[in-house]
Amino acid sequence: MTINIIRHIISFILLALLQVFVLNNVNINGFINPQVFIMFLLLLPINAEIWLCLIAGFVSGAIMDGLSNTYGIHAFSGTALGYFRYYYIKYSLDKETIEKAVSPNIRNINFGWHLLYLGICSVFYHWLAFLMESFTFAGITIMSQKALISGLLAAFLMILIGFIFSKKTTNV
Amino acid sequence: MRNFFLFIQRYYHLFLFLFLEIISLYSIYQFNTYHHAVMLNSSNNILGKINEVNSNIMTYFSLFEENERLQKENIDLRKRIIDSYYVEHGDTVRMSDTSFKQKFTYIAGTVVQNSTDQANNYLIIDKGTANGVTKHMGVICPEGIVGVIVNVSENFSIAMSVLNSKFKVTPKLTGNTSIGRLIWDGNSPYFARIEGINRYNLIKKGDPVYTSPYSSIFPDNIKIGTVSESKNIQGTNLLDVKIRLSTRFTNLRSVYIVKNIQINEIKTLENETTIDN
Repeated sequence: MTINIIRHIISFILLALLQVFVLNNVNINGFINPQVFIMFLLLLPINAEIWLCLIAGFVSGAIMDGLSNTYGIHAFSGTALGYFRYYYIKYSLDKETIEKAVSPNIRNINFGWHLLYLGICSVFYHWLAFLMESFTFAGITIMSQKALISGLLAAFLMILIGFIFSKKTTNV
Repeated sequence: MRNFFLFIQRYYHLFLFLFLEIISLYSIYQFNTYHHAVMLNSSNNILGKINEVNSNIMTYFSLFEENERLQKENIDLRKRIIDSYYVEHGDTVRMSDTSFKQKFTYIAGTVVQNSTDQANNYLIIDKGTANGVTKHMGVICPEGIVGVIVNVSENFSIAMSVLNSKFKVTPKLTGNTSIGRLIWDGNSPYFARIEGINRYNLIKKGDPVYTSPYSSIFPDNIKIGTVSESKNIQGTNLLDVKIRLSTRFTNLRSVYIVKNIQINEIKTLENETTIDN
């Protein structure tokens, strides 16, 4: 149990460093900026309580806000993603799978579900973050395009990272 | 009362969610009114350090380009020094000239953090009050204008970049007398627009755009960009001019902060005038 908590914290630190030192400097075409640190939030155990998802989303978002000088944007979207993720898992997986209490990574759960999960959550997150950042509904189509491209790119990167680092775990 | 507690217990996650979102929204609101710049001052030590390490690493990747850029500017400046001119009339005697007086001085700085992908972009420069930087100073680079300082701490300063919806500068087009406004619409970091130009002005593709002498922040004739497209706005007699910015914001390193020596005199004059009205 404790080892698992430490493992999640270390994974967050590594993802945050990757985000700040590498991906925040990668601006493809000037405005496509994938946020990969949300992988930490998405890979919390599937039976994680809702308060844990919310707090983890808020805290990790707030830390990223501090590191990339965007006060509040990632915290807002992170909290919303925590909420979204909880209900997405609850309604898309059956009870037996949830009770296994594993991390929903690429090796533990079937690939199709994992792909859809990362894609939808990532696009949801980016859309919300971009909306919060522009803080207006004017130009929402261009903003949605940006969010879609950034979200899918982030999902793609997360799958690559998953292939390299994820391990099959049997229990908590 | 018991029902009330049951209600809270049942929907505690909703309340927690709303509570956290309100905190975030509050901080976004603060961010929109530049308070994040103030926040930088308090967390200066940690953030400044991280940004500095990051920038130290990133500088190595662009050293070659940076050298070339500075070399080009040196050539430009070398052309202007008095030694590159020869005396055309043999009887002219050169003496120390008192008819010119310096108006602008420059402070060299390095960008430690920069963004181009947001709706309002800011950059952090590693010079602060300790180096004589104050608010409302202009920032330029060898290629053109960069932005305006909006907040200063002891060792760092935050500049609002041209890629910011709140940035204002008066541009000057060659062969054109009407004054427009430079606007960035939040899409591409390579382009901006000029509004308010009368359509009877002749504007061609490729015309250079410079800063005008009306500004007390930027010197005259600092390059902004070149015209890439100009079309009539339907139903008006105004032109919508699209310009390609000469500054490459995605790859910005060395900048100069412009200090206007006469700014206090201008400010005092402006204040006195408004009081009289």
